[in-house]
Amino acid sequence: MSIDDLQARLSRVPRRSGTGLCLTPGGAYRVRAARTLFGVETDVLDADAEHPRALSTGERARAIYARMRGAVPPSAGSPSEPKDSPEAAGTSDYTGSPFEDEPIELEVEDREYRAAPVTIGLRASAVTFLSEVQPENPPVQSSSSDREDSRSESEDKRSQSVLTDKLTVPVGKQQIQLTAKVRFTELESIQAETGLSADELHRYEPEPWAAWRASNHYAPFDPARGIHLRFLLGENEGLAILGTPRWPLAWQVLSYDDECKAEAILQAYHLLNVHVRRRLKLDGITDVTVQGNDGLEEDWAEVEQGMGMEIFGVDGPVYDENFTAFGLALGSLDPRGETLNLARSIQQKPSLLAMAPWGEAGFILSVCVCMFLVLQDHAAGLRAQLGQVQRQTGSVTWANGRSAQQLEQELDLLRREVSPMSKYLKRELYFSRAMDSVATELPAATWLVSVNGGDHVWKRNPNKSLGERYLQIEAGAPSRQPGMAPPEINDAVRALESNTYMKEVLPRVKLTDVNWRQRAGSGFTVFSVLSSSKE
Amino acid sequence: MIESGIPPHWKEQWNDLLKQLQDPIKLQFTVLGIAAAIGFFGVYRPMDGTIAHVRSELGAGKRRLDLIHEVESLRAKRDDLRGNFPQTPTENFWTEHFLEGIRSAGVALAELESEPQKIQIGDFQVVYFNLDVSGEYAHVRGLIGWIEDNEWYARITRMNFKKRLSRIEANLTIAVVVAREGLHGA
Repeated sequence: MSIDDLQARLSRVPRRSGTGLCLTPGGAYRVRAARTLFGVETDVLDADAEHPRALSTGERARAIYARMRGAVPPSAGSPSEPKDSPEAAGTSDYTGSPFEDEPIELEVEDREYRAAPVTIGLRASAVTFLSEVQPENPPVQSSSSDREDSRSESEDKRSQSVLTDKLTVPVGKQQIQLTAKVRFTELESIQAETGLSADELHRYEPEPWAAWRASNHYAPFDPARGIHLRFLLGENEGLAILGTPRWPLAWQVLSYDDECKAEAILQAYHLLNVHVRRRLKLDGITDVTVQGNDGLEEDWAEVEQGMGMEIFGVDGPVYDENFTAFGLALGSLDPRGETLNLARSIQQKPSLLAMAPWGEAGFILSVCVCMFLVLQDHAAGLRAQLGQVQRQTGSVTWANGRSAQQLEQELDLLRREVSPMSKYLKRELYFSRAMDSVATELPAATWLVSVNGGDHVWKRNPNKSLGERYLQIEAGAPSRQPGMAPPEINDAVRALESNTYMKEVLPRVKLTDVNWRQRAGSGFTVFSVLSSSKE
Repeated sequence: MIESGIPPHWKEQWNDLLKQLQDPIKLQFTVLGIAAAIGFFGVYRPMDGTIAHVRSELGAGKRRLDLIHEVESLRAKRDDLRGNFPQTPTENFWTEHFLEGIRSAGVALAELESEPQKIQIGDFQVVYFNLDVSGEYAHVRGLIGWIEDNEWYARITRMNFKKRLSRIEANLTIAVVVAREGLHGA
């Protein structure tokens, strides 16, 4: 298997997947996104324009939802589906007929989504979105409903005509409060069209927010700081999004034809720039980028001149419904991400079991299991070593029953015996060999008068000049003239210095004394040579 | 019946706890904290304690084994070194030993004197023998060689030769060891 094959196989193993659903008057768009080891993989599952049979939006959406439930008719298998509703009664028709020519594998694959929440887009015109500097000190994220409310309170929220969700985000030194509102009837109509109950923890998100997320995925906002204005341009419509790399702050829907495209862009720029300065109390737009269909009848330079800013083009596809659906799907990949969910106030709180981070906890527990196995293995190794040591110790019969203290006492006694005995037995100087060397090396004309030697083992020599090991010879040599030192003296010293044995044991040779004497009318010289060890 | 046994304030605290855990961050920290605590207190601590105990026993066992090996090694070395001495060296043994050497070397003995020292080597005590002998150089040299190359170890610590006409007068001090229980005069 090649590396490319392996990479292709691994890229098909999703770590997390999500679905985005974008409903438009012209049809429904569904995109599945899966996060793999090699990035995000996308799959456009539905595109009504290519479908052979024309269906209404509601029909298509219900069909999509039916397929998302794994080809199980919602009326038969889904407890959350309102069976007595007219929509539910018609869903059974969609499990077979519109998509019966689809491959079976797709249906099997779709079973993965049976319980997975979906992110549904709310069209921009249906959502009121406000961004302003936070007036006081509300919590970082809140919704119009108390999340700890019981189910009955959630049902009370249904009576509200407008659903609200808020999010407070830091932008520079400001705390900006983002507020989105939507009529409850809008969610009801989506629920009626899709069969996706708002109670099932699906996320309802403004479509421009999803478009900002998709745009940021294709071309991340750079630099990380500053206020960015990005134009997402399609064929005849577009979106101007004001935001940071972390959150969108405001948007303007653009609708144009070729002639007025530049004017629409300029107008959006000025509107949003005023919004930044006056409502958000920020310094203004710092970067302007264009993504998608950047064709323009006029020159972009004229637009730049109108803005007074440079415009940069960034990578990314043309802005359309699939683009938005992809952004919604990306949002599903990050269920804990900070975003707006207009259905939050009417949704029952997810159970603690559903919210718990089982993945992370499982990872920690698996690490614990690995740690246990490693430590167990380590302990087993130590026990094996201990058993071996105990067997070796037990095999020494004389030591059985003796304490460590007794053994140490015996060791101490042995050391006190062996160490001085070794010192005593280490004889370095053999006087017999030293005498042989002297007898051999002295010149023929000389004669020995006396020899003194010492090899002190324990007691120090009181005569420090001699050292602990020495041999001192006194020898005589004939003098040819009175008072003249005979050359044999030098020869004797050099000979003792060069003797192999003497060089080894008594290397320091020194002429210590020279005396001229006369006896029976003939003169001679008596000299002393000291050979000592290095110490 | 069971529920009635639970104090009301306990139930309130439990409900408060559940409310707190609705916050995903708190829930995340709590669950991960519990998992980490299970790992630390349920796995790491007991295993670490076991390993520390076994390691301590192993260390003590290894120290004891090393001690035994060291004692055995020193015993062997001591026995090896003792092979240089007679089985039970006494002053009398050494006196007879040196007399035999003097006789075989052919030198004349003037004096043989033992002088016990306070130096002890294990079960032995050091004794100095002072020998005054005279003879030809070759005979005196032979005596020294006999002492140094003998089966029983004796170490000459001091030596003094003086030439007197046709003979050599030699004074030797020889260190030997005697068994402490065998200390009695020559």
